Amino acid sequence: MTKTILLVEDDPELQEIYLAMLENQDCRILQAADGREALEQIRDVQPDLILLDIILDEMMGDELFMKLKTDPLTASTPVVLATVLPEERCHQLLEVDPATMFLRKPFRRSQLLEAVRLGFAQSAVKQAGQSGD
Amino acid sequence: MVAESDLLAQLENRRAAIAERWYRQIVTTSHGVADAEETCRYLENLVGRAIPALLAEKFEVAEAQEIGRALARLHYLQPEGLGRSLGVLGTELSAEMTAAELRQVLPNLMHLVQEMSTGFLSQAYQMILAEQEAIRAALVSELQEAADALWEAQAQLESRVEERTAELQRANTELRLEIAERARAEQALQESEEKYRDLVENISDVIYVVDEVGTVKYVSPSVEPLLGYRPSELVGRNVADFVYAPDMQSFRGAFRDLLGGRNRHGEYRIVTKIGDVRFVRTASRPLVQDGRVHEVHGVLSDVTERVQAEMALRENEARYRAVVEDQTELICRFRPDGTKLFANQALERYLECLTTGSLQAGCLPLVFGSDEMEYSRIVGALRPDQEVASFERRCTGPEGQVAWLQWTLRASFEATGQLVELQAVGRDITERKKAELALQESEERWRSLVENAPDYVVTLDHEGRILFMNHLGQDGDLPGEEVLGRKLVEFVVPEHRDQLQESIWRVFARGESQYAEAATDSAGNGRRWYAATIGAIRQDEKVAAALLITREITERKRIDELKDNLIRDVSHELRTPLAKAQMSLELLAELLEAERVDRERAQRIGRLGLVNIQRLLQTVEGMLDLTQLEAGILRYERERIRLDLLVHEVLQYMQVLAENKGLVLKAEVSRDLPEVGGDREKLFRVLLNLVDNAIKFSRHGDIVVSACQKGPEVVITVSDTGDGILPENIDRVFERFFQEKTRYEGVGVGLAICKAIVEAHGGQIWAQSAGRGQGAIFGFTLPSTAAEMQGS
Repeated sequence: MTKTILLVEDDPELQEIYLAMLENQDCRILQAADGREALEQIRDVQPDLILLDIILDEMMGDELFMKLKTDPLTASTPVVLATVLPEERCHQLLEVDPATMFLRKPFRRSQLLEAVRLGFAQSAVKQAGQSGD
Repeated sequence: MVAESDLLAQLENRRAAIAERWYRQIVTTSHGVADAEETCRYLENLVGRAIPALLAEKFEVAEAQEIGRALARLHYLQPEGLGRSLGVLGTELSAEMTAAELRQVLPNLMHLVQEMSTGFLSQAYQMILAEQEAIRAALVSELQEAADALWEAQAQLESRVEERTAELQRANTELRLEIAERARAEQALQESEEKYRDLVENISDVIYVVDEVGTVKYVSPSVEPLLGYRPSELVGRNVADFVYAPDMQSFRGAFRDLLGGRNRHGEYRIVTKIGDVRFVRTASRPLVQDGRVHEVHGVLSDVTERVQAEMALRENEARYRAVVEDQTELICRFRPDGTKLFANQALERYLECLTTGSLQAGCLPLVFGSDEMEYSRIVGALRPDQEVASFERRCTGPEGQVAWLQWTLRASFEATGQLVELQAVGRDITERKKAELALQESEERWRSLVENAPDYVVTLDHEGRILFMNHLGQDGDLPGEEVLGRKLVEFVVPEHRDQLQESIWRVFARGESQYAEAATDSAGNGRRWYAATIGAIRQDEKVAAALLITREITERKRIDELKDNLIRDVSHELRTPLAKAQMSLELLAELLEAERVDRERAQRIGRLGLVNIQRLLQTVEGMLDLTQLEAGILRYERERIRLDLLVHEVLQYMQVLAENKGLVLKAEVSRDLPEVGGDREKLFRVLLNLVDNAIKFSRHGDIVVSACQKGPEVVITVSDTGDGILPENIDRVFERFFQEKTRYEGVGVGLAICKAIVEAHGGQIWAQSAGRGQGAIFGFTLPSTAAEMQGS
């Protein structure tokens, strides 16, 4: 089954780079340029993974992240945080959900793909749990 | 008749024994029998003469009297002992006689005693007469000496007269005159002689005669008022008995001289009958008979009062000298008009080596200086009940050397209250004064240093209480005296108290200097930061207080905070394009390695990397420019600029960029716009920046650049219909690295650069916006060259 990734990134240049990195990965990529768009997309489609740039324009990435993690619908959706900030600045966010993956820019394609693979694995465990109910 | 020869032999045998017993009796009643052996021989001789007289058939009266006379020569001055003396002689002569013998010699013995007694008394009487004669002779001899001198004078006169007589034989009248003169001289001599006689007879001095061993033989009645003894009590006693013991040695020395035949004068102390000590002066001469000194004659006068007066005078003099001369104080006495009455050696020496030279001009210049007011002020304040004044005075020596004297002035007043004399005691206090002045100067220097220091200087006791603080109460913001005694930590915010107190304790406990930062928080001033170094003030090796020097670092703290933010922002601003460049170039490399290369995608990704590297470069350059602008190290050219041309140039430059976004650039520039003075290149940059921003934040509509004159200034605005600015950010848009929208290109230094350039030209820059989505207007002013001309 084809997996879905929601890419939340307002910088068109980075959107281009991420798309290029994720090409040929047998997954569907949805895009949101800001927090509001992202929330709309999530309502329509439940993504298997959210790739979130932490600094967004309208709604800051950290604000969006907290919203996702407190919403029961999305709380268990794996998130990859991409940012230029050092890891310690994102300490508070990572504490909220230790399963969250952190990528500090710049990062390599392989790093991104590894994070995506792990996220999908988490997602699979979650779905297995749900189907078991 | 007994055998006379037997009796004679018996008496002759006992002659020495009789003499010896006789001597012992005589000794008990006589003074001045000096030599026992000689006296015994003398007496034995007399016994030898008495024995034949005793045994003679016809008693020889004359011989018996002669023996008596001889006895008188031995001890005539004690006639009262005569009876006992002769009694002993008679007893001793008859001691071993038989009754028959005694009966036989008794008539002669009676005669012998009787006639010896007669002889003795007649001899004694003659001798006393002779004594009196001798005394008279002694006195006369003294007169004779004086007379001799006169006679000698007369003799000289005589010889002169003779000379003249010889010379002037022919001048009888002159000779007669000389004779008359001589007669007058003779008369003068006679008068003089009478005068001396008178003198001696009425003399109050004591005249005395002693023998060669010092026994008093005669003393005149005037001795009684002096010594308290009547003459009769003194005669027969030795003069040495009256000499005061400490003077005995010099007395004996003088007496030896007399016995050697020399006249002596002397002064001795003698002890009176009631034990007083008196000073006497003696003039003595020895009387020589038969080649040996027989007696000493002399005159003695009481000089006690003179000596005592002399001694008292000497003592006073010595004490006075000791007090006045032997000290280093400068002492002078003078009249109110300055006339010197006295100056001690110390003062004279002082004047020699320093100051105002001499006292010829009186004492006033020395004591009071040349200022008459000073004299009036000090001396005028003296009263009989306030007679001492003390003051210090600086004086300058002839070579400009400075000395300080401390004077104590004491005034003497008459009963009427009239000031008659002043005594000044001075002390050189130059060294002390110099030290004092140096201390004062040093104290003032330190005080001014502390008072004028921009820093706060505080001293603290061991509990951290404020002992001293500079700048107290100097203006409304600063604390007043009330802070003294309060703990310093009370004035800092609670969260810094423990650490500050700890630092203070460390200074006292270990003596190590400490550095501390603490903030205060007051309603009026907000939070203010202070940095302090705290050091130990030591006294006798112990830390007596802490010295805290502190300055406000609020501004520095604010800048620190800005700097921290700046570093964070810069790192973000640099890191974002860097990250994109690196990621895109890496991705490009991977894409090119793939079997089938998507050329189009590879090109896009490659361009993306280049663009970001370019952006990185711009960011760095912008930051450098801003740093240089803010540091004021950029040079500004000064040229006349026509703004209409400048605006068109900028719009031309930005035309393509605007068209790409579908934006329209418009210029609204007055035709008669005056020229401005400034750096063309930099003003171009300002305008370019503003237009670039407008394009960046606009998606559609027009961007209008206008320039018009307003008073002495030219106003340039750039307005757009873009995103606008949130009201709370209007004031912050010119801060460097401020970016309302982080996703846009640029680093947030552009507007900060514009602000720096405009302000350097003497203009102002501002931003206006009605809010998000309402567009924005950025404007700035520049003084017109005409206005500048007027201004200058």
